[in-house]
Amino acid sequence: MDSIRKSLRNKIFLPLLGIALVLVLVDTFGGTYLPETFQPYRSAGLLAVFFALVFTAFAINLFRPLELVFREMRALLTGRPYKKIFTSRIDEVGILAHFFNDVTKNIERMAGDIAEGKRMSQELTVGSDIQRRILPKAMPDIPGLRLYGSMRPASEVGGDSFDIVTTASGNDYIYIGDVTGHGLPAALIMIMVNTLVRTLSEIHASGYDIIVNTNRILKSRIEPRRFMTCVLLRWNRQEQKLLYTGAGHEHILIFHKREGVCEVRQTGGIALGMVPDITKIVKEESIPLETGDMVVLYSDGIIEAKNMNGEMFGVTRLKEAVERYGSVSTPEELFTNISRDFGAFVGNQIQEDDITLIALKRQ
Amino acid sequence: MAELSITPLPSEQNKDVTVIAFNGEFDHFTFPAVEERVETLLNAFRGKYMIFDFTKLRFINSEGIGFLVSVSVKLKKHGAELLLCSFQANVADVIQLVGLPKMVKVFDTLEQAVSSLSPS
Repeated sequence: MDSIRKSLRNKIFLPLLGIALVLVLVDTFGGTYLPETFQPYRSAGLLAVFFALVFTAFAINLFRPLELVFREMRALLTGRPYKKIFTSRIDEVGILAHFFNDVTKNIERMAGDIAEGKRMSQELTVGSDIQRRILPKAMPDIPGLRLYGSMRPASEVGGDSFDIVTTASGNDYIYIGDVTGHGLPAALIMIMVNTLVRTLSEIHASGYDIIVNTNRILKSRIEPRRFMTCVLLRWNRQEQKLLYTGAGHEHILIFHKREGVCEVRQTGGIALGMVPDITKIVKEESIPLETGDMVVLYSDGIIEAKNMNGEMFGVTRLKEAVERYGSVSTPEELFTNISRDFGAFVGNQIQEDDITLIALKRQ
Repeated sequence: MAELSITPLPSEQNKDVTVIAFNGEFDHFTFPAVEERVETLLNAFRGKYMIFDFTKLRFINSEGIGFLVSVSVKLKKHGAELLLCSFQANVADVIQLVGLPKMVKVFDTLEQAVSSLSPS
């Protein structure tokens, strides 16, 4: 039975053969019963009946099923809506129908992937636009300080940001921050914090107040699992003093030119967005600086970067690089030198995280 | 490929305490599966103290830290508490740096964590 179902040729040929035999038998044994007037038309009549049955056989088994298939194919080819072809046939038409369904399923899946890819790359573009917009366009002139900073984003938008805020109140602020996660949600939190710091710096006169209030306002607007590590430096122009308020960020490096030694200081505090009230957890502390001393802020992208042996760059290497170049470099030169050492270390390994470095030198 | 398995160990001495041991690495790839498993455990949790034992946890990233914060918040809402104990060096570093101990109680060993709890 299956061999008939599987083949159009059998489906059409065998029944037609049967019908032909029946007609011959009918004619042979029943032909004499036909009235005299119709006898001359007997052969023509048989042939006509036979052709009608042939045509019907073809129409049922071939023309109509093919028409159904080709209708959907035409729709697909001309870009109109098409439907899946439902059939239980296992003959050639069935194969055609199943093939069509398979091909369209794959096309739909690929189109979905492309659309998803487009949506994601749009999200990444918006995210990286936001990230770039936050970064300072140029290093401002701050009497007593010379600074240089830069951020190199990873392939996917990460969470690094930094900014330099000069105010009319005699304080200049420099912060570096790192939001959990990637992409658009991280970029939105970055922009929130950036705006908050800028606005609050016009109202408050200390890093402590800015950090405490930024945290309070941010916490109410983000989900529990997101947070931003940050360290905020304050340069008091009048007293020519540098202070810092830590919010769960990486250590900062303080290069003392006289001794030629680089101190690695943990900035303490707790990351922004974890608890609503950090008044008792953070504090602003000062960094005594002599002329020629440097402070380096960095994000964990640098120290967690791996070379092809799987070794991390690490704080120690960074500290040693600062000690090597600290005495003789401007912040921009220090940045270039460290970048070169870093590049030599990681080689061609793709970096998965943003890399940010800010250096400032007491003039 | 990094993996992370978690094993809940209800405490025989104290019905209010459940200890969950983490084994492996808590990173971007293992995160979804772990999140789902812990959520299931949280939803079924009726005790007062949940202790995460990190003796065998080799790595945690900021997403993982964020998740610990959200677990702590969720438990607090139901009058329960999250405690963390027993950290490998690099995990301890990350947790310290971000300031997590200022929000969630941390202990060096499981014994210290358990003995800090008020008797039921």
